[in-house]
Amino acid sequence: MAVFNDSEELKNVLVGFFNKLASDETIAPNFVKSKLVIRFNYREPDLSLTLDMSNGKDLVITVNDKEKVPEVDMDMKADIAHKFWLGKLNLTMAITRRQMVVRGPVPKILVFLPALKPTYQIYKDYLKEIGREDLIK
Amino acid sequence: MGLPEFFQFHVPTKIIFGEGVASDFGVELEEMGVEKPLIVTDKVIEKLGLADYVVNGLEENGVEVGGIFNEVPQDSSVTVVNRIAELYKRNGCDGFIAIGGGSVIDSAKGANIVVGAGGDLIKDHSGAQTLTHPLKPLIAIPTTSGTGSEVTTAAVIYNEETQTKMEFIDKFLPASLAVLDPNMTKTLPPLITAATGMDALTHAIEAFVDVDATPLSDMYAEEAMRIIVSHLVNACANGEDVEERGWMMLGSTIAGAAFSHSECGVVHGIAHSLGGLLKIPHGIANAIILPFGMEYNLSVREERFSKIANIFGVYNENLSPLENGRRAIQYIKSLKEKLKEVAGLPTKLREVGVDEKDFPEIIKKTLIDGTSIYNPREETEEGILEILKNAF
Repeated sequence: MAVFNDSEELKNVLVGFFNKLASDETIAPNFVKSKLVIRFNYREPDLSLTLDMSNGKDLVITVNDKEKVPEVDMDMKADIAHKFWLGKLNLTMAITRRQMVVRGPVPKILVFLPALKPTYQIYKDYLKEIGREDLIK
Repeated sequence: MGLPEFFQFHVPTKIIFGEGVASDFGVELEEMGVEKPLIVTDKVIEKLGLADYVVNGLEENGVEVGGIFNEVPQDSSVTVVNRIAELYKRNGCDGFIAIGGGSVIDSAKGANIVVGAGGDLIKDHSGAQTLTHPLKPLIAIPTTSGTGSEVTTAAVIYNEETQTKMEFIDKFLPASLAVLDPNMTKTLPPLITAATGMDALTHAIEAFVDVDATPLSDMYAEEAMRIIVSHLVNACANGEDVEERGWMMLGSTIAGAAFSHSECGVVHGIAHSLGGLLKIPHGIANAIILPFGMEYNLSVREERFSKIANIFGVYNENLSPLENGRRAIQYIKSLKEKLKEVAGLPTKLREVGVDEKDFPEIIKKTLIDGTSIYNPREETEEGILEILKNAF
């Protein structure tokens, strides 16, 4: 059974989480310095989230945005995204096994890895905050 | 190193090896159903008669050559790839035969994506694992012993529009057939033999010490190191010696299989920057940086470097892993000196026109290179600077 029942539930969880990262004074600067526009295309359920860091200062999140042109597109099942943010999935292995498909410059994604480590705990804490401990397994 | 949490190992390329095999692989083509292949090569290979050597063999085996594209430049580009794909379609070909070094093989891989998957090469397929089905048959006939591209899942193609080198990583990219014929490298000049050989040795060493090394990639990396250090100097000194050439071809392909799985590290990261910024040939850049990159990583991989010392035949059981690791590094420094003597291989950055004022840009580029996450020791500005200063 899929972790998220529908797109609305997925959106509420992930948009809230990304907003939390965007406002984190320690984490956000490590992300925005990439000046990257990245789009996550989720399936089962379907949802697209675009993270725009192009001005090098802010992390702006838009949902199902068809206007912004991302430099990197990442396609994956929503379950895979959840597993990744819980810290239970090795990014390079997920790419190798085609659990994630990357369109665009792969190195720009890989260099995020050191900055991602602290976010796994933040995701768990965030799920607790919103009363979704059931998703931490 | 402990038991890996997870890994996969996949080398789908059929490999045939032997003197003369590049003009005699009709039976393999028949098996693959290839009747009208497109030859992809460059003008140097053509001038050396190596393309004719293959084409004559094909014709003797009754294979109709669908066309010859001989304009692959030193660095493959999107325009070239699209031209190859266009010729393939126009002539109704049914497979690719790439005769050349890394750039030629990568160009054929790129054209195979365009032909086999359709869409826009960069927009739809740059990145990782974008392909959903196998491509057309691709036969790779290397004419250098260095890149290992015939068995790797990657291709690098220059995008003129954005002036960046784009990576394509996919399980469907390795050649269907690698034809390893030592005759194809006999005419390679000593310097190119040395530089490409050091590229292959760097693949093997970095694959062996990187964070994604596994017992299977280790097997390939160890054997590749053993072969390359035993034959590289002789292959440079006696280019016509088919046996030495043959061993180097095997060493390069085996190293390719190793690093295709466990990737490269800081040495390749710096070499990519030196190539991108200052056009330093990749093999020469690797050769210059290698011992200093090893020194940088030694403290976090003492046991591994000690094993390398054993492979190189300089291990001393009375010494600590750290001291044996140093012996492995010293061995590489001595190897470089020998290659300088027999092939004129540059051993320092200053010899290839690098200036200390280039260091900040090299460092910046290296830190965002895709290899940085695989290096066993975290890459830092100070660390890269130390390597560059030592290599200067």
